Amino acid sequence: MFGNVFPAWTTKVRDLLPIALGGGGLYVATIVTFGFSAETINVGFQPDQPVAYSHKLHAGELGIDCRYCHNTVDRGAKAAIPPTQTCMNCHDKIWTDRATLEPVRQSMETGEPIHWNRVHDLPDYAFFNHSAHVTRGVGCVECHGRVDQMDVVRQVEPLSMGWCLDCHRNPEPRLRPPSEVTNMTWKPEDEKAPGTTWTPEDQKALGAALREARDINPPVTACSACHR
Amino acid sequence: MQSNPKKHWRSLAELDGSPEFKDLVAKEFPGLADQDIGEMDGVTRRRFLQVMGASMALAGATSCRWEAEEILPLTSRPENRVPGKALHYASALQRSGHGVGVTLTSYDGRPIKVEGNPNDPISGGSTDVFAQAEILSFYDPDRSRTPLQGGVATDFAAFDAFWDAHIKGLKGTKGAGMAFLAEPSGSPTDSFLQTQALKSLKSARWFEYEPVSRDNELEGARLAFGDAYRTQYNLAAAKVVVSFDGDLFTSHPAQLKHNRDWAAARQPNAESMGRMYTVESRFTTDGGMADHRVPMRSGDVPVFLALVEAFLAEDHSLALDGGVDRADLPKAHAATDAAAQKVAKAIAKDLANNSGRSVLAAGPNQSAEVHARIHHLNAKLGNVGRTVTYTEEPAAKRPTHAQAMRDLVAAISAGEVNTLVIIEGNAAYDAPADVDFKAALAKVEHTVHLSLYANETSALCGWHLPRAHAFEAWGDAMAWDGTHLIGQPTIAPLWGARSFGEFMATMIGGNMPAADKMIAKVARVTGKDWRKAVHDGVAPKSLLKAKTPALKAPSSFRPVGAGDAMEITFSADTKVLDGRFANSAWLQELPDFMTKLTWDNVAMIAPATAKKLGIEIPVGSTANEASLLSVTVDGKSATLPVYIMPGQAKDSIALAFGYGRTRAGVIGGWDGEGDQVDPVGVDVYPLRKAGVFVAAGSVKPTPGKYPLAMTQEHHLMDPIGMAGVAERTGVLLREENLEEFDPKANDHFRHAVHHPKLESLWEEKSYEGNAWGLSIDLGACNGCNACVVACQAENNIPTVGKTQVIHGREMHWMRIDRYFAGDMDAPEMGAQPVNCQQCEMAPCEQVCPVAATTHSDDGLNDMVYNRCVGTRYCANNCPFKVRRFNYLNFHKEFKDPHNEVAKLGFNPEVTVRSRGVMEKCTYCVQRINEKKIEAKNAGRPIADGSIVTACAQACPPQAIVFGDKADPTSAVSKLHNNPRAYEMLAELNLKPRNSFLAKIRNPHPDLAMAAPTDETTSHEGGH
Amino acid sequence: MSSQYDLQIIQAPEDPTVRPDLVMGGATFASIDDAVAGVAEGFLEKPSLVWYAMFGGALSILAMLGAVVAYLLWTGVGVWGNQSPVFWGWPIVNFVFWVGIAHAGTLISAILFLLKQDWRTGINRFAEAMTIFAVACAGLFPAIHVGRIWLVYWLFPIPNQMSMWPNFRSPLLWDVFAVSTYATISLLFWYMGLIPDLATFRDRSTSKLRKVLYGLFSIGWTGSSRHWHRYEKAYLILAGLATPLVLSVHTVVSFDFAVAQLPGWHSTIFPPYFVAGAIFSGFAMVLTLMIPVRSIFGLQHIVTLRHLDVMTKIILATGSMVGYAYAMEFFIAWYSGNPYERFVFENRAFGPYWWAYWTMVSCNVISPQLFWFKKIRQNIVLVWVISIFVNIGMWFERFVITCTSLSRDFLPGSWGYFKPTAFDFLTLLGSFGLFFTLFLLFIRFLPIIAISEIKGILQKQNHNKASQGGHH
Repeated sequence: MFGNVFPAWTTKVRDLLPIALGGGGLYVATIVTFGFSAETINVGFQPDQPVAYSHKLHAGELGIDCRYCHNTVDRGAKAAIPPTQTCMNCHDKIWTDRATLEPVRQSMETGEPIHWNRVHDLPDYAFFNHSAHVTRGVGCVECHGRVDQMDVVRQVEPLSMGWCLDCHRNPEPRLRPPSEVTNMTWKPEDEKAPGTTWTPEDQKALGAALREARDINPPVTACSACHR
Repeated sequence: MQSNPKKHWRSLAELDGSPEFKDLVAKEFPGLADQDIGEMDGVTRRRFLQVMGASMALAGATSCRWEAEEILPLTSRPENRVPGKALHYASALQRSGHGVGVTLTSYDGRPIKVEGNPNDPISGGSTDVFAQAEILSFYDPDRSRTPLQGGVATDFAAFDAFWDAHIKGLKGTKGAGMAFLAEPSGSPTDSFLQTQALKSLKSARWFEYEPVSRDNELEGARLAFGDAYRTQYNLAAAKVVVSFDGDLFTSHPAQLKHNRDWAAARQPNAESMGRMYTVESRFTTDGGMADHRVPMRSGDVPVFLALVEAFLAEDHSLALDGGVDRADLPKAHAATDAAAQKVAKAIAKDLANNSGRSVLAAGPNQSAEVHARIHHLNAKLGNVGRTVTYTEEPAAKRPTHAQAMRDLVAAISAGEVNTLVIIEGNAAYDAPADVDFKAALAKVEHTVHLSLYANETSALCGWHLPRAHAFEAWGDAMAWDGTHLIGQPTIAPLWGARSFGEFMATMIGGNMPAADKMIAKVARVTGKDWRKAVHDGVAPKSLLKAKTPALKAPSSFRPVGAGDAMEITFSADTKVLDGRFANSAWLQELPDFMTKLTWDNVAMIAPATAKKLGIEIPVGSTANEASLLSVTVDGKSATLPVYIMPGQAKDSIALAFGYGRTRAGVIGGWDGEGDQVDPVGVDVYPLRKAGVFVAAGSVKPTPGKYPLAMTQEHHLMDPIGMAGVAERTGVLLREENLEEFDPKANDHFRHAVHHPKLESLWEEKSYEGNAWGLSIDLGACNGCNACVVACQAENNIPTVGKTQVIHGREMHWMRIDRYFAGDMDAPEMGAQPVNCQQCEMAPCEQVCPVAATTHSDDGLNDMVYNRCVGTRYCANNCPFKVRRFNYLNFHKEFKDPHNEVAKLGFNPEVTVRSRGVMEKCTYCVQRINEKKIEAKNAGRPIADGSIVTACAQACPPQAIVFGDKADPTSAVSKLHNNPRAYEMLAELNLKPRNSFLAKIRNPHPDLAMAAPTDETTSHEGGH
Repeated sequence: MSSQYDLQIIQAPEDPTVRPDLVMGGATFASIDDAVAGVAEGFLEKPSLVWYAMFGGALSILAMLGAVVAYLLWTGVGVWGNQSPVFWGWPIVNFVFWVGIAHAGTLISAILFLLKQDWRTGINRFAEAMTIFAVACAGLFPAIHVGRIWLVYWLFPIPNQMSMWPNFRSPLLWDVFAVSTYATISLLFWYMGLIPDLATFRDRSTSKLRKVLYGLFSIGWTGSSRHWHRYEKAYLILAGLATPLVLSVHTVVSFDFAVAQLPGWHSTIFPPYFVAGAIFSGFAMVLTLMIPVRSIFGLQHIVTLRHLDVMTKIILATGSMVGYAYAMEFFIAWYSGNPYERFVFENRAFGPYWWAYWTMVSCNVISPQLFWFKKIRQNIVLVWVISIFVNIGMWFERFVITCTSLSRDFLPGSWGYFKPTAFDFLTLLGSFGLFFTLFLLFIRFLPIIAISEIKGILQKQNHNKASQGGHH
C-alpha cells in the first residue's frame, strides 16, 4: 500500500531531510549575521562630493591642522563643516581660476551654501559630542581613519553601537595626549623616552596615566549619555 | 529711502547681519518637504531645525544604507556661532499693556524656548503659562501670513498703494474722520509713535479697548485719591494678607513677583510666617493659598469687608469714617452669618496686631467703591509706605475701556468715522453685548486691521495686515513696576509682516528712525549702555515715579450685598485668557489648575447649588458626562456644561471668557474658507454688558449631556473611591499646622507612614559622583501650571486633542494632582506636582523586557525611546503613573505641509517620540549633559545651580529646586534634609530622588476650622 | 440530546463497584475505525451543510480579525481602549484567557497518561488539538499588543551590533520562553500521537491526493511492532517532558502580574491559583466543544457519559480551588493591613467594576457547585450550559485582575476608568474565529479520537470481561 504511493527513494529523502533543514537554517543565519552587519553595510561608504576637495592634499601633503576648518570640534557637539568663507581665505589668492573651485566661488557670490554629502552619519537618536571626546585625547583618526590619505572621504569604521561600546568599556588603548588628537600618524611608541624600548607594559601605563590625568570614565550603561 | 519707511524697517535683517536671516526669508525651508517626523522612529527635531541655521537637509535616498543626508554650511559663519549650540537673547512680551521680560533660547537662529528674564524684577527669571506657551504661538501655522483685502490674499505693495493715496486725503483734513482702535500697550515707544501719529493727524481719534481690564482698580484709585495711581504690593514684608475676590497670585500683572515674595514670607517659623485670608466667589489661586478661605458671592464680598471694618472699629477702635457698625449690616446674610462673623473678627484682630505688616487687596471684579475703601484701610492700618506703595499710573488719563468702546461706536453711528484703523484686539468677538460693534464696523468705509492672526475682526475689515511677532521685531514694554524692558528681534519675520512701528510709520506716511534707534531714544541710553540694555533686556531708567498720593475723605460705605437672583460672575479664562490664546494647543490641553479640565469652558456651580437645581453628580463610568445649564442674563442666554466645583460660592455661577472662537484657527475653531473646525467651548461674551464682571441672571438645567475632558478623575466619585481618596490624601500630601510643626524634629514627616524594614530583591545600586535630585515645596506650590507647559515646551511633548484626553492619553510629563480636603462647601485645596520620581529602585526598570529603561550612573531613570518596543509593562508597574505612552502617532499634523513651520519650534536636543513608544521625565537630561560636558571639558566640577530643569526654571514661587544630592552643600541636599522633607510612597522601597516639603498651614488660633493634624486621618475628603 | 448509550448509563443500577465501559455498544476495532475515520471521510462523500455553514462563519470572522489587525498595525494600539492608568487592556486579558484554555490538552494527554487514567483516551486527541489552537490564539495577542510590533524580535536573545541583550529580569521575557516551549512540546506531542492514526487514514483513503498527504504526514508508519515499540517510548518521554510544563506555563504567566508591585497583582497566591484556573477553564472548553461534536458525529459510545462525568468532577474540584483563592485574596488583603491592598479588593467588589467581579464569582464559584448533583452531571444540556458559564467567568477573572487593579492604584490623582472600544470586541471575537476555523478543519481532516489508543482500551476491556466472566 505504502509503496505504490511513495517510490522507494523517498525513504532516502526522508532520512536526509533533517540534515538539509539543519544546514539550511545554519546557512540563512550566517548570511543574515554577516550580510547585515554594520561592517558590511556602512564601512566604505564614500559618496561623491560637489567639490573635488582632497583631504589627502590639504590635511596630508599641506599638513593643515584639522581644526583650521573643523574649528568647532573642541567647543561643540559638531565638528562643523567649514563655511565657504574658510575656503576663500586661501582661494581668493591662490588657484582663483581653477574650474574645480567654481562651486565654491559660486557659493561665495550667491550666498547659497555648498551641498556637501554627509559621510559619517549617526542615527539622529544618538547624540554624539565631538568636544567631549577630542578634549579627552581621543584622536580624530580613531573614528575617521587616515583622512590625510583620502582624496574622497570614506567611512572606515562601522560606527555601530557595539563599536562605540568597545571603546567605552576599555578606553586606555585609544587615548593619546590631547596635543596629539589631530595627529594622524601618532603612535604610543612616540611617547617613549629616547633610547628605551617600548613594551606592552609601557603601553598599559601610558593609557592608565592618560585616563587618570583627566579622570576619564566613559558611560557604559548610562543610556542617557547618548540617547535622550 | 527716506520716502519709503518700509525699506528702513526691512533693513532690520541686514542690521542684525547674520546671513541665515537672509536664508530664512529667502528659502521656504528646503528639504523639509520630504520629512515625516511622525513616521520616523526617534528622529530628532535637529534635522528639521538645522536646515535653517547651518546644517543638514534630507536628500532623496541615494545610498544602500538609510536616506543620505546633505550638510549645508553657512557661506560665512558669525563670530560666536557654534552650529548646534544654544544662544540666549533677552526679549520682552506684552499682555494687556503689561510687559514681562523673557530670555529666548535660540538654536542656529531659531528661538525654541522662552524663559523668564532674571533682570526683570517682576519675572525674576520665572514665567507664567502664557509666556511658556508663546513659542507655540510664534510658530503657529495659522498665524496670518499675508495681507488680506476683503478676505482675499494680497500683498503689502497693494495696501501701500491704497494707503499712500488714502493718507493724502486724510492729511488734508488733518485726519478728520480717522479713528484708531488699539489694544492697550505699555510700551513707551508705542505711545511715542501714537503721539507722533496724532501730531500729524490732529483730528484723528484714538480709542483703547480690552474686554477684561482692571478699570475698577483705576476708578477706585480715582475715588480714593482723586487721580489714578498704581498700587505696588510688597508681600515679602507682609505677615497678614487679606484678598477680597482677589487675584494677587492669579491674574495680577505682578503675580510672578507676588508668588515669589509670599513664598519667602511663608517660611514656617513661629515669629514671621505669613497668614492669608481669602474671601471670594470662585476658587482662585488666592483661595488655594489661603489659610482661611470664605466662599461667598462676589456681590456679598463688600458686606464682608464692611463687617471686618466694623470689628476693627468695635474691638480695636480703628474706625474709618463712613463705616457701618455691625448692627446696621444686612441680617441673615451669607456675609454676616455666624461663620463669617467669626472669621471677620479674627481678620480684624490679625490686622490690628500687625499694623504696617498687612496687605488688603481687592480683585478687578470688585467695584470701584471697594477698591477705594481698601486704599483707605491700608492707610488706616499703616501699611502704606511699607507693604503697600504707590507709583504713577500710565493709563491714568484714558477713559475706561467700556467707555472708550461706547464712544467709538457712538462716533461711528454719528457718521464721524470713515477710516478705522484697528491695532490687534478682536472687538468683533469680545465687544460688550450692549454695544453693537459689528454693526458699527460695517458702517465704516475704510477699515484696516493689524494683527498676528486674521481673526473675527479681520474678517469684517476691508484690510487685514499681518503683524510681526515680538520675537521678529524690535520692541519694548513696561513691567508693572515701571521697569523698561527691551526686546531685540531673534529671527526675521517667518512671513512678511509689519511690527507696530513699521505700521505706524505707514499710517503717518512720514519717515521714522530705525526701530532700535527709536527705542534707544525713548529709553535715553546710547552706545555701550544701549548695548548692555539690549543684552540685559532691561533699560536702566524706570518709567514710573514713586508717589505718595493724599487720600480724600472717605465717602460712606454701606454695602447691601447681592440680591436674591442667581449671581453670574465673568472672568478671563486661566488658559486662553480673553480668547487670544484660543489657538494654542498647549494651553487648550492644559488641565485647569483647579478643575483639571481641558478643551472646554464650563458653568462652575457649588455642590449645594447643584442640589438646588436638581443636577445629579456624575460618578464612575460617566464621571465626564456633564449636565447642561442654560444661563440667562438680561434676555441673552448661553448653554454650558456644568462643573460642580467644591468651594464655589452658593448661588454664584462662574463663567470664563475666551471660548467659542470662530476665526481662531485649526485648534480654537475656524469657520472661514478651508476646513471648518468647530469652536472650542462656548462664547459667553454675548451675556456680558460693558464693563460688567458680576451680573444677576437666571439659570435653567437643560436636557442632554456633554462630555468633558478632565485629566484627573472627577473629585466626586463612588463612596468606595471617596473613602480611598480620603484615606490617602493626607499620606501623599502631608501637612501640619504651624503650632504642631517642630522645626527641630528631623524626618518627622518621613515617619508619617510606618513600615517594616525595607529590603530589596536585587542588589541595590550604589552611586559615586553626582546624584541628581529634585525638591518640591508643597507649601509654596499653588498649582499654577507654569512647570507643566515649560516641560512641554522643553521636551517636545505632543498634544493629543479632546477625545484622546477623555481616553486618558494626555502626554504631560509633569502633572499637578489636585486634592480637596474637608467640607465640600468650603474645602481646603492641595496641589502636588508629580513628575518622574527617578526612583533608585525603579520598578519600571525591572520589568522592561528589552531594557529600554535603565539606571544611569548619576541615578537617572533613563528612558531610551529608540529601544522601546511598547509593552507598557513599565507604566503598569510605576506607582506614580508618570509614564506616558504614544498610543497613536501624535505628530500626524506635521504631514500637512502647511504645518511644517511648526517643526522649527521643537527642541533639537530632545528625541521626538514616534507612536508605540513610552516616554517620561528624565530631569531634562539634555540640560544635564550639556552642562556636564562643558564642565568636564573645562576640567572643573559642575557648580550647584548651573543645571536647572525646565520646571524649576519656570516656577513662579520657586518651589522646585534641582541639584546634586551627593554634594552636601547643594541647595537640593539641604532641602532633602529639611525637617519638612519626605518622599512619596517611600514604604515601597523605591528610594525616590524627588522629595517634597510638607505644607505648613498657619490658621488663626481663634478659628476652629484648623487643618487636621494627624496625617492618616486628615482630609476626610468631602462627601 | 442524550443518546441510547447515555441512557444506558443513566438508567444503570446504582452500584459503585461497577463502572460503565469506556467503549460501549460492543464496538470492534473495525467499527471504531469506521466511526472515527467516518467523521472525516463522511465529509468527502457527502459534505455536510452544517460544517460548511460553520466553517464559512468561522472563516469570515477570521478574515475580519485579519482586517482589524491590519488596521491596528497601521494606526497603532490606540485603536483599543487601553489608556493611562490601564495600560494593559483586553489584549492581555484575552492572552491569559486563551493560555488558560490551552492547559487541559497537555494535562489530559501527559499527566493522566502517566497516571494511567484510561478514560483520557476518549478525549485526549480532541483536547490536545484544542490546546494547540488555543495557544495559537494566545500567541497572537502579546505580539499585536506591543507598540512597535516590527521590533518584537528584540525580546529574543539574538546577538546584535548594539551588543544589547534583553532584560532577563523581566517576567515578560520569561513568558516568551514559557509559552513558546509549551507550544512546541504540545505540538510535537499531538503530532506524535497522530502518526498511527494518520497511517490508518492513509490506508483507508480512496483518493490519491489524500493517500499522498496522509502518507507524507504519517512518515511511513507501517504499524510494525518495531514502530510501535519506538512510538510508545517516544510518547512516554514526551509525556514526561510535557508534565512539568502544564504547571510551569501558567505559573510564569501569573508572574507577569505577581512580580509587579501593583496592589491586586503583587500576590504569592497567583501561581497555584492561575494553574487551577487554567485547568478549570481548559476542561470547561473541552466540554463546550465535545458535547455537540459527539452527538453530531454519533460518538456517544466512545466519548461516553462517564467521560463527561469525570470531567465535570474535575471542573467541580478546580472551580472550588479557584473559589478558595478568591476568598484567600480577600482575607490576605485584610490581614496584611496594607491599606492599598485592602482598597483594591473593596474596590473590586463594590467599586465601579462591581459587575465584572460578581459576574466572575457567580460563573466561576457558584455555577460549578451544581456538579455536586449526579442528576445535573448527567444532564448533558445543563453540563454544556455550565461549561459555557465557566468560560465566560474565566474571561472576566482576567478582566478583573488586569483592568480593575490598574484602574485605581496608588495615587488617586492618576486614577481612571477603562472603557473598551469596538476594536476590543472585534479582536476578541476574531480570536474565536481563528480558533474555530482551525478546529473545524481539524474535525474535517484529522482523527478527532485517538483510534489506536481506543483500540488499546477496547482490548483491555474485552480482556477484563473475558477474565472475570463479565457482569451483564
